[in-house]
Amino acid sequence: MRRPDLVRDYAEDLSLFEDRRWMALAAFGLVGLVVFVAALAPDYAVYVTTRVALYVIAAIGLNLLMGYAGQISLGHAAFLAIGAYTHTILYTKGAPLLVGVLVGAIVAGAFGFLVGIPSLRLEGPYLAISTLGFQVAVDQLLGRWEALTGGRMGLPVPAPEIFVELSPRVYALLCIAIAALVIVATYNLTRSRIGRAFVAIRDNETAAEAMGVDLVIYKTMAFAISAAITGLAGALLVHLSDSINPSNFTLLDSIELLVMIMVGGLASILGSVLGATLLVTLNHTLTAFRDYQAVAIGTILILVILFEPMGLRGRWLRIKTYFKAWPF
Amino acid sequence: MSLLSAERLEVFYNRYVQVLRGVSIQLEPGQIVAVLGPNGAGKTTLIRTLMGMIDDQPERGEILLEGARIDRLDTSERVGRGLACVPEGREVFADLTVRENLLMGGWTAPRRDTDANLARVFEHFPRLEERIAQRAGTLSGGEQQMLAIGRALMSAPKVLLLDEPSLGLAPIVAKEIFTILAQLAERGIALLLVEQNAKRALELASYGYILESGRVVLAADTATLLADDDVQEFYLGAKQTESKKGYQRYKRRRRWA
Amino acid sequence: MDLFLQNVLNGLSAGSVYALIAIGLVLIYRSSGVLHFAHGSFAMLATFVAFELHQQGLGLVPAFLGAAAVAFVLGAGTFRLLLDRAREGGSHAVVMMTIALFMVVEGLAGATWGSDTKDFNHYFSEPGIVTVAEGVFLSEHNAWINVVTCALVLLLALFFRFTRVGIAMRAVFDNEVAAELMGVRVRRLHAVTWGIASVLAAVAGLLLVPKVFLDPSMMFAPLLKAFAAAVLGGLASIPGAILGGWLLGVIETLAGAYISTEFQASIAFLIIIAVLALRPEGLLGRRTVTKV
Repeated sequence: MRRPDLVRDYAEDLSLFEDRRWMALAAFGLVGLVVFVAALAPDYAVYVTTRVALYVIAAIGLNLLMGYAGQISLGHAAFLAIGAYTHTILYTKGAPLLVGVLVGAIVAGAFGFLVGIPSLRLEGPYLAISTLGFQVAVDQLLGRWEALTGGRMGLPVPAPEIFVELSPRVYALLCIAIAALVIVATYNLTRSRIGRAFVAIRDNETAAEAMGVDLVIYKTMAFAISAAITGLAGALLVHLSDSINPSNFTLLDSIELLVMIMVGGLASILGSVLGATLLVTLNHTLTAFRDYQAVAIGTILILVILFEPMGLRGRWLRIKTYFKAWPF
Repeated sequence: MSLLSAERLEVFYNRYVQVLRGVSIQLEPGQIVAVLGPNGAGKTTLIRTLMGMIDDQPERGEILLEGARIDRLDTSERVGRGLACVPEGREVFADLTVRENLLMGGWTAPRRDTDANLARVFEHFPRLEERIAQRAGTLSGGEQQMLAIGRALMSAPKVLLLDEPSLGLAPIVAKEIFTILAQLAERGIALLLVEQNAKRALELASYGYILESGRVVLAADTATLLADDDVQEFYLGAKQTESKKGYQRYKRRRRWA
Repeated sequence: MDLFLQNVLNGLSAGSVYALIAIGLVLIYRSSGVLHFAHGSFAMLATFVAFELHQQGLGLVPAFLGAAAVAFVLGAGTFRLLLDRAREGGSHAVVMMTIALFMVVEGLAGATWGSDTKDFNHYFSEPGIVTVAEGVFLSEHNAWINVVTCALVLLLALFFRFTRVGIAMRAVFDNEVAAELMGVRVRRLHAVTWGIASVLAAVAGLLLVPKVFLDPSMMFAPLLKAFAAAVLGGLASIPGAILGGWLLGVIETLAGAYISTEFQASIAFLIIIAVLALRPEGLLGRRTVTKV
């Protein structure tokens, strides 16, 4: 069933996928991915796939804030870091893995709430500067607060374990499952009352307030939810290596997250998925050109802004429309 | 050949919304022409189009200044050829002094003419000379309007386009401004006057256009316009007939629409 | 007391560099509404250009002039070719465009010159000492920084006050549409503003380079501090940016001397956050009300 252009009832409007065929395709893709990771893929591909899944989560978190609620953040890697460090510290002290991850997400969300408070008074450029400041401050704090974070040396990360030790393949499946959950959850969130409030704030803050959207609640909520989702990704990221240190979460990582959603498409879950997939894959395939990696990413971003402001998703929509309208 | 003429202008916003649907106007040297119409009729769009402030517009039609096409020139060149504009809401440079505002008005004029142009503006608006070093943002509304007109005069224009020059001014100040506009016309400057205050505009102008929904629905000399029933009722607010029961009739049909 | 004065003086010298960069940020922000995250990268590139020209055997003055010319073209060209178009995509696109430029310029510089540091000790840094008062000294280098900055600030003030182009720039800051109606080619003027801002940043880079090392990330920390200085001054006020730069330099140096050098860099951001929380319009800025 294709979703009709005219939405006739509320259930249709809320239906998760615009088109059942796409839902089938997505499910098919997910199954394919699971089979690939579980049985077929070489170790390195499993590693890259896990990273893709986790950056999909992080990118969705940022996109919720920037694409939907319209608030810029240059400091999202700091939330990755907060999630990662919280989880590592708890996990090292013996907390179960999923509890650590959850608490990591919640702590990141709490910091997101705090960072969101100045956003009530600040607009665009100031918010960009203050989130940039947050990023730099967290970076410095992680490097200096040796008792808690191990300073520049970082912290060792024990192997992931839920009752039994998880092999990289099983851990990859876990991350894919969580990513799928996050996709479905945010998809629903963006179509709920809260999601519409975010979009209203993005499009016209004053009008939104006049319509009864409580800015204090919804703006800080946007920051908190976004930070929590990103913190979740950060917490899960730690198990991809055996230690973490502040250099994993620098301003450049924040920028990379921004590039993912700009290249993929703002205000689009599909865009976040595409962008994160593209960027992470590029990072791990272009290792030979490490010197030019930043240049390549920057150039892609410039081209996207100039020629396809809606990102990959915009290109995709255009191709879809082209075939739909074919032969015209 | 008219000094300024627009032929069948069609202007779109965002490619789909058509604001002007074939508007033609003519302006002779020293003539004051009024453009009247309700909100959203396209009056301000007409001025912006004539000034070249809307990118890639007009979609169709042409604008001629002294017989030469100017509709593909940018604003800067149009100002250089003798078109000047007093925008709606005055839009003076609030942080600049009166003198600096005037200098900006003469941006396209040759530098050696600056003193002569300044002198001419001060002749019309002696009050601006008194306040020459004052920041424009601290002037009163009427003074700001004078400054906006003076600033436009600094390019020694042949045609002056005025968008609502009496908006938000006290009646006595508005009257003063209109007296000066008449003087400018006597000096040979052609004025295109967009006004909400139809009565005053028609008193001043010799010819008028009624613009509704992007079309010129009526174009005539002011005597004809003043005598027209529809103009009287819709623009001048005169009641034609009292209803027997003492309240106004709901709506008269406009014959031109 | 002498030590205190000494610290203040050194702080002013550090602050002068921040001020020069911050003035450019404010100019660019006021003219085209762009927060220019690649501003420091342009300065770094210009400094490298001066270094290379000097290596090729050019005298210092021609090398500096060459660097200034490159900076001007870079700034003006960036606006004309990239930012002007990005502006159509909204505020996110604009911020991301300058971030992309930052990545490209720093990446290219790193690939070309390597990330190993170079010394570019041009003659401004001769280790002479100027005695300011009894017991208070200023290194010749810091003296140069202060003199050049003050001279540039004065020049800039005269430029904005008395030249046609300077007045037009202020008019564009004030009301872009009205300026266009007067026949000003606004985009061209934006490009010139970008060029001037980039030249100021290049001067900052050249003044700073003998104190630090020449490497692709040399301007990153100063850029962050210049942002802090600009915010301190309200982001839209040039005198505010200068004052903010000096204030930041002094506070930072005093904090380094009396509290701790460890967190010197964080102080910039503490200040940003404090100012944003208490007085978002900056120390000299005026509160603006946006009409809807």
